[in-house]
Amino acid sequence: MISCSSCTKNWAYPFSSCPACGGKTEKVSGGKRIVKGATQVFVPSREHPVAPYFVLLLQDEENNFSAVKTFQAYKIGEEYSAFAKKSGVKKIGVVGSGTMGVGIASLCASSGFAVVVKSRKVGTALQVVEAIRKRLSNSLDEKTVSLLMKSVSATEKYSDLSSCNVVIESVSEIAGVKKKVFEELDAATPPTTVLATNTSSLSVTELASATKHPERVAGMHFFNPVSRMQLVEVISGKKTSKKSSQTIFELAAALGKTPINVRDTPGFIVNRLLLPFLNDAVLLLEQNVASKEEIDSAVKLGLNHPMGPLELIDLIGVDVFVEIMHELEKQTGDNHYAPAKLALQMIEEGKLGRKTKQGFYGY
Amino acid sequence: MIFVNGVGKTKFGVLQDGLPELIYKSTTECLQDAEKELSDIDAVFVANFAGGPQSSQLHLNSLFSSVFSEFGKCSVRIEAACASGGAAVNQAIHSLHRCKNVLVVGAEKLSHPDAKQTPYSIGLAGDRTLDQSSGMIFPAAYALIAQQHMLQHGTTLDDLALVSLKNHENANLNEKAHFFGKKVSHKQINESAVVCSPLRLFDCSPISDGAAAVLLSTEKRSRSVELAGSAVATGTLSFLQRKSLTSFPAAKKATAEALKQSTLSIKDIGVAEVHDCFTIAELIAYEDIGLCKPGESKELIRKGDTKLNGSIPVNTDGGLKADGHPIGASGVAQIVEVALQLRGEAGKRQVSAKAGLCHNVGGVGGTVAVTILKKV
Repeated sequence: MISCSSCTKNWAYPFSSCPACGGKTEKVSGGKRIVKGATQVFVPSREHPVAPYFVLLLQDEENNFSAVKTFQAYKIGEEYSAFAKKSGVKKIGVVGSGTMGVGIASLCASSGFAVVVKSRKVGTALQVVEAIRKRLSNSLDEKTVSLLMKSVSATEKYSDLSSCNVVIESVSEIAGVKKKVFEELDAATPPTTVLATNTSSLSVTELASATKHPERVAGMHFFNPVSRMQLVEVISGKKTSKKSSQTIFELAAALGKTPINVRDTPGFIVNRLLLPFLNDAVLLLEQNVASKEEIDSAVKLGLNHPMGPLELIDLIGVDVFVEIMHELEKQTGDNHYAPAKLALQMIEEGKLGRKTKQGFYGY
Repeated sequence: MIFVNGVGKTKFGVLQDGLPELIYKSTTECLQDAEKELSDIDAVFVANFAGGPQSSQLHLNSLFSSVFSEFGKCSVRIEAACASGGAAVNQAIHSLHRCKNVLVVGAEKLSHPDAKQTPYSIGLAGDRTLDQSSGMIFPAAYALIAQQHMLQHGTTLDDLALVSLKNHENANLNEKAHFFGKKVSHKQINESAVVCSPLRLFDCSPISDGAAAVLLSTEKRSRSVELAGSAVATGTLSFLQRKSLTSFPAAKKATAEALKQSTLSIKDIGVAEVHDCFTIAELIAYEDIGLCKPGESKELIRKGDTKLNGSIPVNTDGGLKADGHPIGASGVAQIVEVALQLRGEAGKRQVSAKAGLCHNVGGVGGTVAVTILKKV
């Protein structure tokens, strides 16, 4: 419900200005919201493609009803908290300042968790915090944003992560760099802190081996863009404890994502299936089977993919694509996964895709 | 006085026919039944909800004149979600001040090759901002309503199953019903998949195609049935804006107004067609139209009072659940059934009644059209 600050009329719909007098409108809070009813929806729909989910019927202290969608189970009579902390996790550290790091940190902040952003330079970390504030402001009102941002901080020191329940690492996809981060995290946090890696292609078991407590290391693989992609692959390395993977699984659900447990294998599920498919598409182009537009169209029409494989590689980045293929080749020892020569050639020519305005297509 | 002089209805189900064929067949049958020609019709009201999203076709009043190219007089389309049929009849009545014979044809093509399209189209009847954006698709809204009714009044899943069973039994006596010929057992209902807890598959009406037509007239003829009352009342799109979650205020208002016009009380009603888009909706309808007090609908269904051989048969054609729910046609089909009952032409499903009531709901009680017919 919103209220007009000029003529005090109330409206059920979130109009940006009052239809009656043009005045500024603001959200009205009716206080605590109690769960009066809950239904589990098993039918996916166009706008809610991931099911099952719950729709809660809430009633506030002024007897107003509202409905909310959630992936968490609530009992009738429970108080509804928009910022669910059902995972038992309160404070999350995020290491990394790239697109994924910012996305993950924003998601944690908007879900009501305290967030500590760590980067090599404090200035970069502060930029991430600013980016989080901007993102939250797109969907939440001023009051709520200031409240949430009170619990978001920036640092360049690993020691400032010591009170985090979970730390999510999202630095460069280079084994040496990630291992160093895990060594530091291992030393700076108590063994009860779960360390999660957002790696898309490296072995979680290998990263865990850089620590003295591999049982507290798991994979928490988000997809790009974090705000829109439902899936989180929860990876258990050889030594990952059930408790650690359970914590990450529940955290992903508390963040509104759909977690799926995966054993630590090259590429996990999505990349292991997608990348070779993309690579084969490049081979089709190399072999002049059809033009790039024709290959992309055929896949869109014949397989119902929203994007053609070559368009998708341009989006991911030819360099990132090749890196992951190399990793798959290395980890499986199967040269079937060798990246297509055309892709290697494109890297040499600086045609990396959208980020260089030229890939398979021009942008 | 206003009369229903002709009725027509296609088979309801997943059909090959599109909107043009459905309109043609139901209209032709209705005209034959009325022993009238197209040239006798002064105006046409087309009731349809999802022609746009389902068939990429709006302007259906003109489609009527494409199918019947000899007709060029006034026709308009009326849309009020699932209450389109009842609302179209209500509006058609007003036109009888100037016209003598008016046709109301409700048609819907709800089946679609893309399985995700139909639920999307149906969802357009709900509140986009308050409900749909929170994942409250229709079954979820009625599921929450069912849950509240169970918490407040002790209604059980078995009570819902009894509604479904009754309507399926009735549909097996109606060759035009969607589920005609399909035997449904209590066990099947209990074991059917949960759609939105607590509602299961057999608590939900099917996705049906179909059309129904009625001819309204100021002229009394030998097989006329009197259209004694017609009222439309509206409510908010979302039940979240209301105080009660287990009753539709618009249904109570429309029933009171229609009964007043007909100078009857609910006790005079001998047969009723109510809007059972979900089984819980039928129980709430019993309460809203006054067959029983709030919360006591479970007594009616448990005692079998609303079965074909009960004291007040409800949904003798199988209702929306088993006859089918081609949205724009459903409200008109209810009137067709009650007219047949009052004429004594309902075959194996014949009951004895002097007056009947049709209760047609749009969305989650956003529109309710109540029509009352009397034996002449």
